[in-house]
Amino acid sequence: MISAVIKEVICETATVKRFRIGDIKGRPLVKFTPGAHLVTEIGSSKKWVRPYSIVRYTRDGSYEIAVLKTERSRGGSRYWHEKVRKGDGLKISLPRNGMKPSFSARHHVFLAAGIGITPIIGMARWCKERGIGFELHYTARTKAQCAFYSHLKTNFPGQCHFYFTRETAAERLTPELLYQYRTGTAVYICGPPAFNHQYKAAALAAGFPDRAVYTEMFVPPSSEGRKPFVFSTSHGSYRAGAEENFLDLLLEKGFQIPYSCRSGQCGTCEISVKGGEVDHRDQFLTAEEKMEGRMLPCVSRGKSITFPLIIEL
Amino acid sequence: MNSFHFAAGHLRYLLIFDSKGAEPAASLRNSLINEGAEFKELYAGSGRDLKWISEEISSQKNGTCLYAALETGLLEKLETAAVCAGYLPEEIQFIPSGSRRRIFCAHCHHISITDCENPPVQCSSCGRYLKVSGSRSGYWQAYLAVDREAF
Repeated sequence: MISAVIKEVICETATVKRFRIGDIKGRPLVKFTPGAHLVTEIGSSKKWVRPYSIVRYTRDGSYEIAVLKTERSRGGSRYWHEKVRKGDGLKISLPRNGMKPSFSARHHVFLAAGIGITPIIGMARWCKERGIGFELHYTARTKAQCAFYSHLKTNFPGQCHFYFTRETAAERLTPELLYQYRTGTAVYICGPPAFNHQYKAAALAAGFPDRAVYTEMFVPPSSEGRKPFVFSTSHGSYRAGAEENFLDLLLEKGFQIPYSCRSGQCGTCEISVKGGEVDHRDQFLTAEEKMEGRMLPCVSRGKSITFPLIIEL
Repeated sequence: MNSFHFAAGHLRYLLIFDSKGAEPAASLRNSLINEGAEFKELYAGSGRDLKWISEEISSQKNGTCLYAALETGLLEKLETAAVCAGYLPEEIQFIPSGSRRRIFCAHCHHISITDCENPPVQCSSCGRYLKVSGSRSGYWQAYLAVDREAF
């Protein structure tokens, strides 16, 4: 992790704040491929570890991220909004790409909902700089809640289509949009889980090849139906409660496991399972890979206390 | 001559062929009819130039699978046009006709053009006599060939 500092805090909307993050010694941070995210670690008594997409690389070599304060915050976004100030220190990872622009597509369609706009902005800029065709369809509740509205309208005037679902005479984004595109079109979907699932299914039904459909979300899957389970390693056996996160537990026990998105999207925390039943909740591993005994402990876990999960670390 | 493999799951199919590719085209046509697939056929006979074919393939909507059975020279140009149009490898199947081939030497990585009907062919760079495999690289637009002594 890199030591960094908050260089500026900007209110984007009532619920979205933009944070400029720079190197603690003032050196320019490394450049990245559009669509990349960072893992941030901030806080004094409790460390909040959260991934956020990089919205912009500034001229002075800083990164900008945008954080939505959610009503259902598990603490991270609330901390960022209420406690983080200019000059605060934090740790950041190197940029990583869960999503990046396709180099073979001749046209790019970006679909964003709410804060899902953040990885899209850099990719839209990438397309514009290279003269590659693209369009952005961005849905938000109201214009006032639409983060980066002015920026997008100014910088991509002909390519942006806004859909404000709570405005009078609201125009809605619908999956039927996806049926009009020619071969060589790539679609990028970023929003809440339901939005991602709906539009990914629609894109596949509209004939987009699987490889031309890109999705990303940093919201972990629902914790519904999680059960306590037992797991064993070469160091011993442990019990995990229904509310406990498997990755956190492994880190607590001292296992050195790299991780990034913490939402089952990137595959960084993959571990090998030698026995027991896995409750897979990620969107990264294929059915075949799961059969081979691979799992992502950031979201997946064991199924029961009767049949311990045997893992190799 | 090789035959096409029917790739299920696409919304529509585009079949382009010339007189020499009529046989695999007919076989695929039967499969498409039997499967109830939506398809379009284009006959690239004499007088049909690449521009016309390129326009056709780039105007297709997403979900189109492209099959082409053409004389090698035209097929190579069509492959370039298909890649520019954004087709992914899994959306393309080609059957070349005629004996002209681009051969990729696995030893010196040189690409030779050969009209030789019967193997082995000689690499024009390292001089090895090569056995040409049925494996074609979309990247090199050439058939992989290995020293015949290797077998």
